[in-house]
Amino acid sequence: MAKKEIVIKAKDLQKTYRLGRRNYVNALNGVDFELEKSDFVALVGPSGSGKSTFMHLVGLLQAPSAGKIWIKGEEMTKVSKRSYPRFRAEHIGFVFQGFNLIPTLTAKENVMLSGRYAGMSHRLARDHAEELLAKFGLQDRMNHKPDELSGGQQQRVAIARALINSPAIILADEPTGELDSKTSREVVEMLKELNSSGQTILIVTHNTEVAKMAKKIVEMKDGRIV
Amino acid sequence: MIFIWLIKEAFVSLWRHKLRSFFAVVGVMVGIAAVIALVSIGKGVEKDVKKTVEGVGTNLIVVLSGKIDTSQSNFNQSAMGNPANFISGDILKRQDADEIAKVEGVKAVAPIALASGSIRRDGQTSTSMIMGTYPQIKDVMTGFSIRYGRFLDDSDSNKQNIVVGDFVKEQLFGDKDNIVGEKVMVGKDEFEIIGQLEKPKDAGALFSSDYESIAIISMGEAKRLNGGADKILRIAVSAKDSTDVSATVERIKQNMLLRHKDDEFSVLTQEDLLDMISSIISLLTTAVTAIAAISLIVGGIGISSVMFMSVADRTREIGIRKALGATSVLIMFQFLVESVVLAVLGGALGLVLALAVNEVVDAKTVIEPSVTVSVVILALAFCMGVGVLFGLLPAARAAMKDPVEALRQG
Repeated sequence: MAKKEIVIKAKDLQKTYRLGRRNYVNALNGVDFELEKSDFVALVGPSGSGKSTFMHLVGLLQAPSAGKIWIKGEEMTKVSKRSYPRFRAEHIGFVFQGFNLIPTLTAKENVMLSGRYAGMSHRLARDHAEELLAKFGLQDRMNHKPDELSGGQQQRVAIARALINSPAIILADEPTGELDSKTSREVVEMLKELNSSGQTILIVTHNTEVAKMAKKIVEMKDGRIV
Repeated sequence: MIFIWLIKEAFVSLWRHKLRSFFAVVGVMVGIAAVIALVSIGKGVEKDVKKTVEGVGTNLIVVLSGKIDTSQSNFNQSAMGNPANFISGDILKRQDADEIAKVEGVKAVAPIALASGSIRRDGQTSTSMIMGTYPQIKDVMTGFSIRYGRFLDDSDSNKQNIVVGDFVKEQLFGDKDNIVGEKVMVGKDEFEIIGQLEKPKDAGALFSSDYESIAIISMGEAKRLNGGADKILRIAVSAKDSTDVSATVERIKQNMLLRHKDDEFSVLTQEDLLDMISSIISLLTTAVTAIAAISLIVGGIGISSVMFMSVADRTREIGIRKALGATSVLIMFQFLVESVVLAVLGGALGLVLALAVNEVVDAKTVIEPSVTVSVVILALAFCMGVGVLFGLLPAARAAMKDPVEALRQG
């Protein structure tokens, strides 16, 4: 049997936040985790269980207090933090709760933005963005600003933005949090379809219906995987 | 090419907050408008003065009482010397004029004295200045063209004859065109108007009125009115040859030193006078412009506060951009570009405002403001500097935002 490629690996991952002068909160208490290529994992757990913190750490948005992270086999805790933004742009696609599109940019420009940050030329980013938006049925809405799009359309733009650099993994933080049930299903179906074509996805969700659509569910509690 | 993208984004972002952006640029706009308008008005005045000085004659040399150091190092400090020297009138004598006339290279000499008293007629008094001089003044300086009658000649040296400019006519005779032959009172004496001056064509607009507000009498009559004192303000000298002016100046100095101490007089050429006047005007313009530039700093503070507001409003956007891969440097650059765009927009609007002010000044006054390309480039470069300087702190704040914290806000 061929050895599976590990996209994300975390070992004894810990994160402590300082609250005030003397108080500390342990958000993560030694998390070990592995995510294989083409996996679709749903990270579930109550509020404060540490799932968002975990996502921020593996998304290189924050540094762990202790422990190690490997992304595509590279130990990120050994790499200079200065290279995190570029690494993030090239290898990690984010889909946030509440779409998080930039209101002053059109749908196409929002999608292009990630490409531009990854060093893509303007023309290539534009072509790629148009291709992705057309694929998601937004060919007529490319030049519209986010406030001219429906919730579902905005989330599709956000997914297109996450995909423009063909990332190793998509990290989705409550991607259906602000959508109605019908649109939520549509978005999850989109993610499933992407996964079926080989895209690795880690999704953080409260929604058990959404979690059930993933291949694997991982539960967190009190900063640990249970 | 990310730079062009950032400029485009800056415009989009500023357009989204039109009113806020407008208030941010008002300070810079007013500051730049004031600076450009003042500099161009200063340049206009300087040009006008230059025209006047160049228009008073060719190969002109002026001997003044008082010491004026026109060397570059001391010029600004001592250009005017002791102002009392200019008005004392007790240093230069008619003998000086007569001796200078004998100096090699001198074509003509005319001392200029101020006579005390005012010109009156039928209870009306003219504010014109009464100048005593030789008839040769016409050969030394231009601007003494006659419209009616004649100029003074040697036969007028002890006659109570007077040549007047337009102001005297207007103040004492109203609309009457030709007043030659009319009588006016100077002190207790009755003078006959023998000539009326023409407004000189070569004089700058700002100073042409000087020629209109003078009345000229003979040197002998001026001395009599001054109670026997010469009261010579300056001696105007014309050099024979334009290539020999410097040498003639040197010879006049040597001649003057036979009767005076070195610090009692100055011998200046037209060029010296131009330099002196230009320097004074430049100094004044710089001082006033520096005051106006303070408003630019106030404008910069306005931009800074708007940029701080913008950073606070767009914290979530900063978080998104960072999550998508924007480096801190790029975020900083983005906000700096916005700040510079705001400042340069303010500068451009200020330039338009300054041009409008100049148009009004041009239309309503005799000054012709002169805007040079270098002033415009300098002003816009200064705006960019203001944009960078005052955008630096808000941009740094944006760049330092933690992406996770930023994403939680908004």
